[in-house]
Amino acid sequence: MNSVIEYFFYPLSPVLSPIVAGLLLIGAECFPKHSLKKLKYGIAGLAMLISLFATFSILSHWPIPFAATPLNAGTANIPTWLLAFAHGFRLDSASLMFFAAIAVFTFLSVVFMDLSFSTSEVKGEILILTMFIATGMMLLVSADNFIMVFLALELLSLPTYVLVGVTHKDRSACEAALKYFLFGSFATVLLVFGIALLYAQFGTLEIPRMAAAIQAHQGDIALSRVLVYSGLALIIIAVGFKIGAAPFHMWVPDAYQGAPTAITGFMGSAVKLAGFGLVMRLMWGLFLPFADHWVTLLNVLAVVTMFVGNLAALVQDNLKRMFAYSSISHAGYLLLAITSIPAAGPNQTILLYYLCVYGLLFLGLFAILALIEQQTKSTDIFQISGMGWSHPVLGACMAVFALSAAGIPPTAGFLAKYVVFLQAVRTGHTDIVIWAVVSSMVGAYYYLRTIVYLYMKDPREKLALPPAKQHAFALVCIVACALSMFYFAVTPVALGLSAR
Amino acid sequence: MHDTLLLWLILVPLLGAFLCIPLSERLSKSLALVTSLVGLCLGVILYTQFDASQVEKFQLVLSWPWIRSFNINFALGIDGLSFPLVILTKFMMPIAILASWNEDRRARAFMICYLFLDVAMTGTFLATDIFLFYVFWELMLIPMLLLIGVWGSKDRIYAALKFFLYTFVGSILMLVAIFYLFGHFQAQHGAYTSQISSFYHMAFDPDARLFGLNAQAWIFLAFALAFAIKVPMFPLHTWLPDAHVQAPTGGSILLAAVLLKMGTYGLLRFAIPIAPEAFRFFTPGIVVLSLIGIIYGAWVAFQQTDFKKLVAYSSVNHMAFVTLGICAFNVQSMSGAMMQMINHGLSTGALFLLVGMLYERRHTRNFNDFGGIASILPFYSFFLVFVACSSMGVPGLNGFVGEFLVLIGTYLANPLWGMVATTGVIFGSIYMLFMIRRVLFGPVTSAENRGLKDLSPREWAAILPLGIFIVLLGVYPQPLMNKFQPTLAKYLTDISVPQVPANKVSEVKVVAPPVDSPMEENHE
Repeated sequence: MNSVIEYFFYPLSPVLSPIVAGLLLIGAECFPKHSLKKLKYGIAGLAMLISLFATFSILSHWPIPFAATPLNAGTANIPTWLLAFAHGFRLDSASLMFFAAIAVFTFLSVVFMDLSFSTSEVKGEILILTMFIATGMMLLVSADNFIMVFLALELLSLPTYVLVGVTHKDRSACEAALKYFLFGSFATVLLVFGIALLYAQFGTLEIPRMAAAIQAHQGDIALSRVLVYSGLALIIIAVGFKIGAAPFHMWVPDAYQGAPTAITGFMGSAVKLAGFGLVMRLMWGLFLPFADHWVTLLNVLAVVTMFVGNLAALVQDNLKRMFAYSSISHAGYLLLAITSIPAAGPNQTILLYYLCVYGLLFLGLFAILALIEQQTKSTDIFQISGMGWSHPVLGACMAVFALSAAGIPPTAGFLAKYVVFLQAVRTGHTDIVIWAVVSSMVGAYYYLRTIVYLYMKDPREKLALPPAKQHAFALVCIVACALSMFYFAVTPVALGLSAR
Repeated sequence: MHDTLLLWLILVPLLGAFLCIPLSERLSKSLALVTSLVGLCLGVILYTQFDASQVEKFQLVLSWPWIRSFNINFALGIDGLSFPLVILTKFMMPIAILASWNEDRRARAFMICYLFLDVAMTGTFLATDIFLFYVFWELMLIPMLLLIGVWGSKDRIYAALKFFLYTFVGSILMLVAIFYLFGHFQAQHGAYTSQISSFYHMAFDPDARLFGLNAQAWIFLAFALAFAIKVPMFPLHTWLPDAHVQAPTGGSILLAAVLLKMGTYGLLRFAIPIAPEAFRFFTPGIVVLSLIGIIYGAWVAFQQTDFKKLVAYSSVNHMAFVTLGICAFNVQSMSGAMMQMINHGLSTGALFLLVGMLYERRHTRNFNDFGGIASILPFYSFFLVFVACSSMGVPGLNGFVGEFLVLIGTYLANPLWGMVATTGVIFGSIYMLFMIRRVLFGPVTSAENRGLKDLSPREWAAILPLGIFIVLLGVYPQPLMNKFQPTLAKYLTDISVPQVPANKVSEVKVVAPPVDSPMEENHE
């Protein structure tokens, strides 16, 4: 029995915690009383904190037996079902870091949910769905088997489609949900087809075995290139949809704009992080021997994505849509981080640093937008005119987020871009970095526009946000997100960037 | 205190900015002034601590690890190139704050922007780590953007965006060059470094060509473009008149006195030592642009009817002397360029201050609204004539020293350049004298001008130190020049661009120190 705890409950506790919370919350829906709202949010938030705590606990006991021998655990008293599960689940330092980031992002999202939903009739279901999404994300970034990848992706995607359209009386939300669903399921189909082709070649769905086979067959004609390459291409297209990389980005602006604002924040930070976790696992863990083939392809995608995002954002007047395009452009920079593989082997710290910084700023930004939208029913850019003066703290936070997204020092967004570009130059992608830099120049304009509206335009009518007391904790979290932009810039070691 | 002096130079304004946040609008102004005065005192301490004869290394260095995996440090240091500019920054800060004393709209935020600007400017000059330099360089954009965009005049948003985007485009190209240097150094030495000086004398692959230019040339172009936008050099100067005209008085003062110097400082610190051969290759081009800048700046200034725009274009004219002096690359011209940087800071700063004083009184800057001011505001008029004289380079005032040395050096390097540049001095006098005539003399045409009051004590406090140093540096520049000349001499031998034929260099060195020449002029 001890080994079950050691091999199952302990290593899986970060993932189990949101599952348990989700089930608890389903039960709690039997009591639809408004007074329980705080308790429900509390359960959800607590679950993520426990998950975070468990992650750190595992990290501090590293290496734990589960991670040491996941495949050939010869210990006698491990049940076979457990062993089978362990084959689909890869617990390494990368997955733990992703767990921590997912836990923090989901916690913040739960805190910010109330900003979007406090006035609507939607209550408990958003928390339940969020908990299952968190589970799906964690399983996705630690999946070691294509079945697990598929299941986790579906566990993550289906509730997200629902969350986007959860305010079903809002027509734009329904449109967004439908678009997201159609594109998302299309991507899933491509993914499954890609997996099937790979299975046809390798006869296994376990990623490590597949990787070993690829490694062994390097340069060997026994490998059917048609099967593997078409599988790879289909998988790239599928994950391209998921992370919103151009030309598979069409759904992003509509889904991000139509979704309830706090949900957009969640999608742009946590879900995106999980998507890149998958990309990282597949590209670095599985297809690394084929790097010559996909690096150029992803680089081209990266450049197109940056430019599509930044150019389209220039002409947007709706902040949600503008930052949706901005999110597309950031996917481009993140792809650049994926393709920059140093000679010593890939290292996830730079990618993770970028994802964390970007996720925090995106969450904070959309929390402020949610607050504005709750009051004014609109997120047009003129709503924030003069907000820097009428609401100094929130205005300053928003300015910090915009500067960080633009990559202007001394914010962490700058440092994140800096290290990504530096790594890319180091691995010989100087030409791509020049394109990336040019697109950043283009992008600077619309981030600057936010600042201009915040501080330099006079408001048409005075912006009245709800009193601070009403959302005290959410406001504290927004400020914390803004301060983290400086904290992580000064001490990048906090996100493991300087670890060597 | 001694070993953390440089850190305090940056920290004091930063602390001041944070202390301002809870204060009232009135108190924050006083606190900002006090902070800038403390900064000035630190500058005086720095003056006593700085040892000009020690030219091998940076002085008063301090260094803390920042991002270990790329060997990036928070490293500060000072040498003869940055020392005068740090002092200039600290000297101009209280004057800029005094100049904006009457700004009552959001005065606290205004002061916070000033103090952040102080942090960024000082940090840019003090950073000895290329990453840290870039952080400060970009950080400077944000407070300046706000200063222009929030407290500027009518077209402020346009001007602020133009300022930001111009500088941002330049600096981000510089960023690519920095990346390349990082990667290249790592490839050569197997380790990362971020120390500026370790990129000097780097061996570039001469065969790595792109569009016919080798790596060093591209590195130089990337750096030079960023700095040329800041200086600003001739075709890239269009942001400057807009930014200057729209900015509030204090912002214009700092922009002219300090921010433009970052461009020439950057050329000296980065572009030339990192890519000396490319510098030599591109020198004729830069010279031609500088000569155009000198003459074009003067001519366009002459055409202006807006007082502030005239001063703004005079900056194009004056800064072109600095780039010309750098390109001539001998002891005289480089000393002249350094002096010209300081002088331009003092005299153009003073001119913007005076423009602001008149604007506060009349709320117009159009020459047609003035005339006959001399009879109404005698002291003001005295200072305006005085500063204008300094700006056109009248012997005995500071402007002469710099321009004269630059012209001598340029003439030695290439007589033709020298001759063309000298005509710029004439044009420079024309527009200044024209401005004086139109503002100060003639009949009083506008009735509103009659009741104006002369300088207030605050305005005296702002203009008098400038006036004193304008005379002091004109009559006796030696103490300041002693501070940077040893560094410059070493700089020249290190890079040794054979601009002047070898026999001429030795002649020049034997000839009496060039510094004395302006003084002899004064004694006559």
